[in-house]
Amino acid sequence: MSRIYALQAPRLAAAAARMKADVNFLGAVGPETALWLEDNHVFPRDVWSDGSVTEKRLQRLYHRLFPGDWLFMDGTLPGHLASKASDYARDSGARVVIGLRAGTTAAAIGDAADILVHEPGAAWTGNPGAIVKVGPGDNLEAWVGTLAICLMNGLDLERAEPLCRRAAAFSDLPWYDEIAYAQSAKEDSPTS
Amino acid sequence: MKQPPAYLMFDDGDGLYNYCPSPVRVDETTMYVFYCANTIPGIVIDDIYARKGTLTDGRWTFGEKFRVLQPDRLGWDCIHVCDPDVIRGEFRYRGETYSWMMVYLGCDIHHCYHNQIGVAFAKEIEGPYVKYDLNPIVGYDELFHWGAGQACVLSLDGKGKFRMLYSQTVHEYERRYLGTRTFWRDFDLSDADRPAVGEEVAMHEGGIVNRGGSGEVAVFNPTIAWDRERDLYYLSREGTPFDRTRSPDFIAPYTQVCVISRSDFEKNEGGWKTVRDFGPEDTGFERNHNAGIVKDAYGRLPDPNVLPVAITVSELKDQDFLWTYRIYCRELALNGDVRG
Repeated sequence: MSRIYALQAPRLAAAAARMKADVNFLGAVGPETALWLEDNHVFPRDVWSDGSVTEKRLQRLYHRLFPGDWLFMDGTLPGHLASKASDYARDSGARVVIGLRAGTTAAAIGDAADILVHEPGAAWTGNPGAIVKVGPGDNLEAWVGTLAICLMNGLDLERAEPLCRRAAAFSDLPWYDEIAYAQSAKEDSPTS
Repeated sequence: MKQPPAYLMFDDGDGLYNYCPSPVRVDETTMYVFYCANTIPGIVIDDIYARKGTLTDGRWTFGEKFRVLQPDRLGWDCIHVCDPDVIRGEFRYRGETYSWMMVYLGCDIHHCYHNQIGVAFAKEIEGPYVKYDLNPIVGYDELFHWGAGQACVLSLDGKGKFRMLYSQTVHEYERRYLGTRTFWRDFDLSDADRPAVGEEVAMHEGGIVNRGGSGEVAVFNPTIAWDRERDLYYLSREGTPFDRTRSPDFIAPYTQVCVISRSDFEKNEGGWKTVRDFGPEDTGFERNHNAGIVKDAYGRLPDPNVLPVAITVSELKDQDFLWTYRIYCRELALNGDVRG
């Protein structure tokens, strides 16, 4: 079972943690967001309350990633930092997932993304390994967060997609129980 | 080829595992099996399920599964709940009286860390089970140790007093030793709002030997049944040492059942005797682990002449062995000279 690292993408981190993924956060966020992450069972690994992520701070990521781990980003980091983070992931044998909202442009990291999930209207350069376009009105973070628990368990994109689509139908970030038990409700009644 | 004597109690779908059975026989022909399973195929999040079984022509057949406990969204048991055990009693809690109590393992981190033990109460054996607000009832502080879990219980008075055995990490830092062993303690949850928790005892392992007599003995993952007639305790444990040459190499190749007199157990100075090592000759599988002795609603052996055990099996595979975990039933006739 691999681990999930979310870099400067708090909503992706929370979405994955609500699905019971092992989510480790690195990034520069205010105290309110830091608390919200902890309240959602995200593990704060390297969190800076002042300034922003820098190249030096990004080096904290380098020692954390191991082969098979997954690095999640949302396209809000400046291109050169996202690129460097992806390089660290590559060097460590980890893989990269990027979730892009509409109107976001992820320059220069498309080539580094193993999986890119995007809303209609997002843009990127390079060639991601796999591209998933969510439907209009779908909850992108819920989709990607659910992908996290699937990837952690070794499921491939094809097996993960039905579960991710179900989560993406929620307007708020769904919790595991809302996804897991909805499908098995009919099985759960005691029989006499 | 001769058919092994154990049989599959119930099956499940692809990508789903079944293990850690707690079989509770409520009358001559009715048994509930509580066990751990995942809900979403391929995703390892443990829930506790149960099935109701009926004895027909000497074999148990089981109905559809139903979920009895699930992890909370947040808190000490927010990732997995598993390793259930259920007994009958009389437990007053928040103005209600409950007839059933489940002990279970909960954890808040993946990767087999920080396990702790909780309880939940129900008015009917099928549930609904209400989690106790003083959980975990057996806590464990170190985040990155295995922790405390795999609890089993037997009733001491038919009401709120019970004895719990459980696995717990032991750490001796100077020797770099990190292992797991069995502990026990008594509780009184007659008035669960004012719980009485007994002192923890490290269970004496004297007399317990491995199959074949070699290798270091480690006693963990206990389940217990009390033969009231002969005043004996039967204990199941993971058979050690594990076979490290084939995958999966972290689960037991055999399940051992030992016996001891209750008085020797309480003296805690050893005196265990091996009853049986349940292995491939019983189930047809090379991995026989996470077993549960079949007991009655109070944790007693239903028939002093028969030792029924539910055993989790696994196929030998480099990958995807988890989805082969299934629960088999094996009944062993006990001869009259079994004494602790």
